[in-house]
Amino acid sequence: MQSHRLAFRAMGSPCELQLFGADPRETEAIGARARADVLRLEQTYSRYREDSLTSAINRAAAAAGTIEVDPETAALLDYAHTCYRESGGLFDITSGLLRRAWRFDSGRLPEPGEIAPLLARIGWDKVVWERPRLSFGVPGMEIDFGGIGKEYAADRAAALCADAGLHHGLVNLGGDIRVIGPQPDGAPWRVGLQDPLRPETLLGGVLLTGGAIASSGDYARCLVIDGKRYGHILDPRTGWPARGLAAVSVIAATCVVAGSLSTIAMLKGRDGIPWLGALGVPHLWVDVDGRQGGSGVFADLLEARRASFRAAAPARSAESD
Amino acid sequence: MAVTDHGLPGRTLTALTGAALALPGLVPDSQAATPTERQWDVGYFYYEEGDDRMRVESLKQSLVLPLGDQLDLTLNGVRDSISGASPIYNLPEIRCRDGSVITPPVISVSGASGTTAAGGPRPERPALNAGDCRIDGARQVMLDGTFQDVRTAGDFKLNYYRGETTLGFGAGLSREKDYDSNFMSLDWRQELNDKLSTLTLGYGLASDTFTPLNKTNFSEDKESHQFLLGLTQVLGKNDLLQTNLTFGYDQGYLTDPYKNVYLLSTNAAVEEVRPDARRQWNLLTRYVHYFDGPKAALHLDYRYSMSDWGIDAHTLETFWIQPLGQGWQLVPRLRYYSQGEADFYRSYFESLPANGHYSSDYRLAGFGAISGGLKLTKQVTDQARLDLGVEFYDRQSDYGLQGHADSDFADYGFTIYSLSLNLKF
Repeated sequence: MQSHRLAFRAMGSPCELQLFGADPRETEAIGARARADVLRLEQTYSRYREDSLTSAINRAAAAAGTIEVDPETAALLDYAHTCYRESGGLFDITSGLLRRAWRFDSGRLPEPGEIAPLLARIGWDKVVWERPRLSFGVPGMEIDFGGIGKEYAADRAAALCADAGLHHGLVNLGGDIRVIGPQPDGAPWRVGLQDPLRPETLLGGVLLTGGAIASSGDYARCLVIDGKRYGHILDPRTGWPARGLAAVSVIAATCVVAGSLSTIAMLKGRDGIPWLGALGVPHLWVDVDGRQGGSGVFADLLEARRASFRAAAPARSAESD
Repeated sequence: MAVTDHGLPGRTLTALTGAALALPGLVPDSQAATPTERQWDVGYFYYEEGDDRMRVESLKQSLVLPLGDQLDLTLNGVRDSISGASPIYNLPEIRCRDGSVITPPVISVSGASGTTAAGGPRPERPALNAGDCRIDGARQVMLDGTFQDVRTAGDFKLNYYRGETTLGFGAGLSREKDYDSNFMSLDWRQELNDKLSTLTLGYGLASDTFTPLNKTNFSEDKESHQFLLGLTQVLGKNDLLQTNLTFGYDQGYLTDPYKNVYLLSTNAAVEEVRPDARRQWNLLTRYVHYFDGPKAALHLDYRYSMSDWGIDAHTLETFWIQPLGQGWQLVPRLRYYSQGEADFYRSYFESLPANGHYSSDYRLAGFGAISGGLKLTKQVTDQARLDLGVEFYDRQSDYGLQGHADSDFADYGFTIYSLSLNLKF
């Protein structure tokens, strides 16, 4: 069994495919096809590219027009609609407009009065989605597949490799991870988790033999003003950053579901903690005060960490909850 | 599009997972129909009829082996030990005004020896046309309780998976002292319409040989063909509808050489004779609904069958699959069955009918039956599952819906206890 590793940049993130196959040339060819598919999705759904489908949709949206979409995009819109419905309107693919007010590299908060006009042009409920036609009810709207596209690409890449006959592999698109079976020797994959509050350190590793892990958090991009953190996950109802949680990781069968559950939990803030608990999915949360909790393998991870802290520095053990 | 109530968390996960699975290319194609996991099943079953009749002890084994990406092989083996008594024919009972109950004499019995009532039959039966005595009911004469047999059977099934198509081929054999059967099956399953529909076509052939122990130098053959057309349709996230139409054609020796009929005209019990062909139609309709709240599934089945022997039957069955958490699952089941009698069935005969077909086999009578059961399952580890089941069956002539001659003398019941272990490895 030969290992083939492929690293590239796509969707604004470092990406990595690690594949195992009997025939090295065939494994390499499968890897190349998986990368090509990721790049195809980037080209199709990037909001930065003029020639992307997302840009075409947004040109229709700007004029409150209607556009007919292909089956793949329709399935993504169906998925986005389900997220909107199940999150009570928190997960909204039309909320990207808020980035015009929130420039996380500017070091300043939005001007008063900047947000309200944007909110008038935000809301999946202002869109009429009747497969395959998407109509925008208000001019100047915008959609983006930011919260879904990368996760979907990871799932597709993994499915493509599995379909081609590979039984062992790992797809990592900027932290959205989907594994294909266990490692060739049957051992689980060990996926390292960044500590959201100390990004240069690892919180620990979780073991996966299948399924996906995705994370959502404000550690990657946030504003800190007067000691207060403003994360980049924006609540479409208020136009302000979701508060309470700093990071959430979820394990699910697919990366799309893991990704949207972690994003919805972030948007729910502290209410996201009992919500994740009730869903029964393995998850980890870290709040803005540094408190942590979770279930499944994450609970084991936290427990192991606490145990090692206690062993290393007994005097500090009272601090961890 | 208004924001609807985002109700139960369990529903949220189901909804998102369902929507994610609809994304193109997200589920590997081979994941929809693939070889199953390697597993081994072993089960013990104990079947016991009431009144010390038939008992069957059964040991079953099954091994499923995936062979590469597109094939899997299932091997089954079973060994049944059968013992106990079974009815051979029915003797009419004569009631007289003086209160006496008389069973008519039996001059001869074909085949296996039967036992009649304690005290033995009277040498003469009273005249039935004088008004003093009349036939009122009947009772069964049983084949001796020493009847014993062992059945050994084995079969294999090979499934080939290719995209949305599955092809199956199987064959096997079954051996008893007096009955040999060889059989094979072919089936084709096609998933259509984004895997929301499954179309199934099947064919089965069995070739059997009967060499009854009560006869010397006697051997007869029987051939059975069965054709199946099935459609399964996913109606929504929580609903599924299935319908199967089967047609069976049996040809050859369909008589049971251990069954007799009693002839009142000659006071003789003679061997039954059935037609040498049978055509049977079956229609099954199944509806499955999944309840998000209790995370349980309800199955509702209705089956109608008719044959050119004149037997038509209705079956209504329901079961409920209830997970109880921590790997426990409970499945209660209830079934009602009603069948009409065969054209050539009588409890006993005055004289041999002209068309040459006659049987008093209680299984061809008109009757109804209620059965039910409970199965408890525990997933002990990821690899091991334990099933414990009990099932009862109550046959009553009165339960039958279709018009039929009363056969309450043949009413009986049975109980099945089962214990099985499933291992994935």
